[in-house]
Amino acid sequence: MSNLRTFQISEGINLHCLKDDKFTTNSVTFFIRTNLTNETAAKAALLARVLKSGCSEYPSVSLFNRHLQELYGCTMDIFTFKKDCRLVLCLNFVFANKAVLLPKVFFVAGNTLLSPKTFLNRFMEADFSNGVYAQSKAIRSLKDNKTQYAIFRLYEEMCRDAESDEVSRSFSISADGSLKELSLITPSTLHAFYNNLITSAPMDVYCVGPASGDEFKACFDKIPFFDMVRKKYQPCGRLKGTNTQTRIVNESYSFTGLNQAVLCIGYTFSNGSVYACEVLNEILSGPSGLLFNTVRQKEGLCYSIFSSILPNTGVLSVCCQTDSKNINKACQIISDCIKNAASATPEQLKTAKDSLCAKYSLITDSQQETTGFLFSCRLNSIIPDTDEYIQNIKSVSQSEIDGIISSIKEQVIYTLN
Amino acid sequence: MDVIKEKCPISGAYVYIYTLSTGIKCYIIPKSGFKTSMAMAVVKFGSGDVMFKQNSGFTEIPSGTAHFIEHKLFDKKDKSIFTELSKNGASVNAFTDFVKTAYYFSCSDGFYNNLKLLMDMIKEPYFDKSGVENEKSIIKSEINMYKDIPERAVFSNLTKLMYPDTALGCEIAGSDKSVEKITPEILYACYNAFYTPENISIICSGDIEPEKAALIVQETDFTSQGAERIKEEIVPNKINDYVSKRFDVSEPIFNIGFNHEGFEVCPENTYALKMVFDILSGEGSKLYERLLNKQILTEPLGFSLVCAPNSVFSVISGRSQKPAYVANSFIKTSSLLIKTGVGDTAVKRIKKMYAGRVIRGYNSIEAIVNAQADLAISGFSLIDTEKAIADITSDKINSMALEAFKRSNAYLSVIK
Repeated sequence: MSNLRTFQISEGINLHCLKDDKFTTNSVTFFIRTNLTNETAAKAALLARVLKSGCSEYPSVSLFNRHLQELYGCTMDIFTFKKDCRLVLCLNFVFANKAVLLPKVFFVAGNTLLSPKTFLNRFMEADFSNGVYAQSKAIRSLKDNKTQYAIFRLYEEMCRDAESDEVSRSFSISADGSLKELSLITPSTLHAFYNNLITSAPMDVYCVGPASGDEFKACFDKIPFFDMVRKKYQPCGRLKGTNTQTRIVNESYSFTGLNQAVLCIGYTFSNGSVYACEVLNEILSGPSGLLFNTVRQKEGLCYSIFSSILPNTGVLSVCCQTDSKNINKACQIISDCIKNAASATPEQLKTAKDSLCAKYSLITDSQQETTGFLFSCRLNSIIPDTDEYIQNIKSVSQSEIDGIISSIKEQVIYTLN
Repeated sequence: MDVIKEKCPISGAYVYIYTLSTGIKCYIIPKSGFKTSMAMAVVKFGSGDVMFKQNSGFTEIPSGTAHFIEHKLFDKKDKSIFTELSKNGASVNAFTDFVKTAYYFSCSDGFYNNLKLLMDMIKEPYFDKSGVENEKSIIKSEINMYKDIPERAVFSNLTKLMYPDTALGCEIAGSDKSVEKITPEILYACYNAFYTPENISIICSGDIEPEKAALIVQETDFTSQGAERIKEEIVPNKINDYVSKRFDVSEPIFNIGFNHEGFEVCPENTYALKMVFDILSGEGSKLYERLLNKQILTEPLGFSLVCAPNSVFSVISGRSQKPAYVANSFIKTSSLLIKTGVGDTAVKRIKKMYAGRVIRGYNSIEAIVNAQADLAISGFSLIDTEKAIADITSDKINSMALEAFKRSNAYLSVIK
């Protein structure tokens, strides 16, 4: 990634351009960061919905989308997501690599971000009302995906038990916000939030594609962003679990019930680098991982099982769907798998590292993954280079894995029946 | 080994089509600059296949057999090809649908060795009793997992409604009962009947040498005898009804199904149908805007065309408090479109959008391989798709609109 060019537009606004001729499209992604609270999550998610409904130049959904169709089906998406204990508003465009499209897409981006449909410091009532309705549906739909809901509930329970600091207060918040917070927003308070965000939040813009850095910058410079010093956010720490004994939470899934229970186990840990954490997760969850080979292949307890690790937050979780009668057995086997990772054979360690290295070496084949990787490196102050990242993975030793496992504490076993 | 090399009219990509002496067809789409290489073996045997004739006897296929083979083909007597490919750093997976079973890997290194492993895997099965028995509990868990996914249940209910008592109305993975009937003998019989060169296509893409890949495929010998595929007669339900099931979801999820009787599967027809849908209810349509402003929809409708043996149907999916209202509005707008016709401006705009989608598709090796896999089953290639999009006319779209979405061929499935 030696051809990554970064232009500091102003303090807190950076434009990052990676020229790559193999792509047939250009991708432009705006990341706008803010702190994560119940209030900001609800407002940012609603703002994303309202901005999607049009802008001053294309003031209706059909006009807006027809214009995008004219731009060779340029895709546009606005959404929010959590990154550790921060909230990110993301605006993304992907469009065919045709010279004529570049300035036109940046014009749409600028118009969407800086000229939304407003009247007297309020968003338009109809757009606001449609946005609230759609967002309330999105919040309620969390429960429709049982696995997603179970993981959300696991994190909520883990934060309840953890030391009360910024991490535990923010980690369990959904990026969709809550119905309660949503109901408190008005067209004018949303506008005030938007104004504050657009003028003071740090913004990183990533452009990946065949266009050159100079071409991207020339188009970006035409967007009249407010030249104000932006806020700075520091990385948050790790979740500090306080349970001395695992807490067991059983929840029933409304009155219809489930054909299979969802089992989620949450652990906290304090040791280990980002790289060692990723290797541990791969030993557990990779295609030849301990969980797949033991819980599924050997014991036949489930079809799908996976673990996920959040190195910066210090949280490891394991999730599977299995028959209710198998829960205790599955818990025991999962617990053994985690202990066994400490005595992984050199071959298991090598397989996990090779698999991860292969994954990272392929990141540059996707504009979306490249963008995500670069942004993640920026937030974690890591050099944005996949080769260097791969070298760091290769140098992870078994003793580092043991170090993480020795600090792992099982916090919560959550089952959804 | 015959080869056709052709340039696609929109993307400018080259597609190599090899017809090998063994009978296997090999589609290779080189993409320089990408580190990912991918290969997929597509076998024309899916859950829609219910019977075959070999020598003088007919064999009935239990529901879920194609999917069962998909699970077990990775396992050999003394090794697992899944593990071997994973150890080589490849990402491996497989899937089954109504018409096909597909096995694939993607990797950054060792593509040709991995391709050889993939070919070795599909040419020789190993189905032992204990392995088959163990797999049954994993597959039953998979079936139960799908039962808890509302999007899956709404589709399953739709096909049951549209095509009752046929393989299309059954789960692709089968049921607990049908899975219990599966034995190593049945798996071997089906393998021998369908895993033959003329039923297999190999699709490769990445920074690869076409001829080198084709030669590896050419070297693979198959000993399967083959059999006559006995297609199930599919008679759609005469009653255009709706089915509604309680699932306790936050907002009803619906699938509107349209049976397309006599639909000839080819890229021109497929894209004409997709374009009619986009003109009617895509994100740029007035219908979508109206439903959004009435708070009947909050997200765009989805569209997919399912080409099953002896039947073609499309599915429009979405979420709404008023699914019947959405279905009625869609059908009403469709009948209005028949009267007014589709204007040239709209066609030009939609064609631009599809051209952009094609170009975007070439950013992903996985997207290229998957798109070609869908086409290979009907004997088409990505070249045919791009030609169809480039050449499609307003007349073609208007004639497709006449028959596509009528009340008489519509069905509605709702999960509440």
